[in-house]
Amino acid sequence: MGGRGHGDRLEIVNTDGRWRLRWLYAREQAFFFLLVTPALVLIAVFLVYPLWRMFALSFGSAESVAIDFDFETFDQYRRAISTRIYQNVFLTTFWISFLTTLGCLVAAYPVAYLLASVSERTRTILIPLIVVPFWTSLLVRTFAWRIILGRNGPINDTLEWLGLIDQPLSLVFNRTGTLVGMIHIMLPFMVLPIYAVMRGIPREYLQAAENLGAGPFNTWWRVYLPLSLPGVGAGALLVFILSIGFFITPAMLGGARDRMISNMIEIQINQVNNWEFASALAFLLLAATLLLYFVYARLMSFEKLYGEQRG
Amino acid sequence: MARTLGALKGAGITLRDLTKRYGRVEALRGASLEIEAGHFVTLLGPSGSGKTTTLMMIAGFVIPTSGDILIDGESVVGTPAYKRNLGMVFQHYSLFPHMNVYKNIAFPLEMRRMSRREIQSRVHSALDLVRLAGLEERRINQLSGGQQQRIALARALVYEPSVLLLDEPLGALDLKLRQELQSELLRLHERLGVTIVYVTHDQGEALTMSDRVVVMDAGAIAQIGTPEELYKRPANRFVADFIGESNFISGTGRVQGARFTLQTRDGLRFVGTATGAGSDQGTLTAVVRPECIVPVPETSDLPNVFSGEVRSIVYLGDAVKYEIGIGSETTLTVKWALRAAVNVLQRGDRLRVGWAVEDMVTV
Repeated sequence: MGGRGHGDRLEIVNTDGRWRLRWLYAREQAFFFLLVTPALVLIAVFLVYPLWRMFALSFGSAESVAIDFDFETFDQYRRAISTRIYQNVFLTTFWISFLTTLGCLVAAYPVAYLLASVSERTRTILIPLIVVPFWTSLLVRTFAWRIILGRNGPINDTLEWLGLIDQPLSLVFNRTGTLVGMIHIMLPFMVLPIYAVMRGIPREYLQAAENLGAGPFNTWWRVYLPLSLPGVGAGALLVFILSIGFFITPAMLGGARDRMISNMIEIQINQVNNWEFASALAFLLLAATLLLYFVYARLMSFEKLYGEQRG
Repeated sequence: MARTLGALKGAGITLRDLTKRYGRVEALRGASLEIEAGHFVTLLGPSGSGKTTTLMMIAGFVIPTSGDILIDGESVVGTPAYKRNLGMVFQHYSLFPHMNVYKNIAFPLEMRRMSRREIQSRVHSALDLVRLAGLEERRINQLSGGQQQRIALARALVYEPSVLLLDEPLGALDLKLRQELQSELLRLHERLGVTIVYVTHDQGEALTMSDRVVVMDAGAIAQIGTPEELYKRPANRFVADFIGESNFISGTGRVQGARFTLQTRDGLRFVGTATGAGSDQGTLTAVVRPECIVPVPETSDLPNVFSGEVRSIVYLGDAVKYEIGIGSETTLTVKWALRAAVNVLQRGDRLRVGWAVEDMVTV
């Protein structure tokens, strides 16, 4: 067509530009996708696929060699849920995890508070004291507790020497040993989230509370504690979830009555050779963990209600 | 029915030789100040001048290294912050994010163990006072900046303190809202009679709101006075420079009684009022405000008259600012209100300007 106006030509340029932009955008997307591919492959091969295999396995029975994905039967789950021993193991697991979480909370809150309130220089000394044990082998630390808590360990020796006891206390290969070991190992997982939240609480809030007539206790109870709760929630969840799947410490420091689900799974695989049942137990554990996480996520949405901490 | 918060009895505040040292740094050195009961006093200064440190010491969050703070004649240095019974609005309002509006305002009353009924009635009247009745159930993050500011005020006033401390409370708000809250504050001050100590770095805010302004510089009090005194008789160069705009003119001079004469290096002669400050050693610095300089006709009885040339023009909307060169080294800044009858001058225009003896003072 002849006599095109200025506007028409502009439009042509525009459409052209739009296509070019779209192409650039698509190319960028493809590039990013390429970048994450190795990670995705890794997860698919080493996490998703084995998990899927285990899931299928948990629906198999001991008679049929369950390599094919049959989903034959719920027998394994029925057995896990209806047998007294396994019910008890589940209860024990949750109970020990709960006590561990509680113990960590009581021990970690003051430590986190200390970390959050000291000067920058003191903090650079204290933080490694919390983090370095992280880098030490779990096995070594657990073994160390065997010695410390043992019948002829330093604790019993000291108490005997002080004349406080006649016979050594049994501190290990029972519930006490399990809890001491687990609380020790889980402590950083509680300290760090609480500390992170505490550092974000502006000093002004505490000054405001004081100015309004709140003494030290009320300032803490009415203002500081509620504002630090999101950290407590995060730490507690982390510790609890890690605890219910814990294996080494209860196996090495606990007694027969302190067997947790992970120990049962291990027995099923290494001693009984019942992979189907072990898989079912593992999936029940996973289900419990996920359930907990969703409950937590719902509860913690009050964190959003707080909004950003400053106006 | 909620009762209204009655007129409070303001308390007088006295600072005696107040000093705060952090290691080798002196945040405040020997500040002495008398704040009359019921006055609105502003601590004005740039950051690092010690104004916030002073306020924090009155509030009880900073312990003075030496000196004394008296409220209503009694020393409060040994009293912890939570027993001082002072109202305070913080820079970021510091409303508790985990409590709603009602709970925030009720907090100081709960700390004072008041009955539920009393708390309810007081919270409502405090909300009425800041004109935000009906927002009781709101969460803090659902409030606008201006609303947060008012709630913070309500919380600071609900227990009827005799002193209200304000730490740059309007700093985070935009201009319109600032002006609105400034007049709100003045209204509250007039109505309640509470003593207000206000910290700001905004000289305009200080001048418009205060009975007395305390200008602070580098950890010391530079001048105390009414806004008018500070503006017309700045005690030193810092105050003249910090408050309003100034033309500084330096040269050799002589003081005779209440008058001084001054001669600059480029040979201009000035006559002004000696105010006692900085008039030694034969060198003088004097200051004249841009709006005090007026255009003058051929014949004039003003002592300071100079002819000059417009070097630059800044259009301000309601006024125009000109740089006028009157000597080889001397340039004056003048500021004239715009009226319909006045034409805006052009660059290069020549004119005569002058000012009265009273409008030029030594600093």
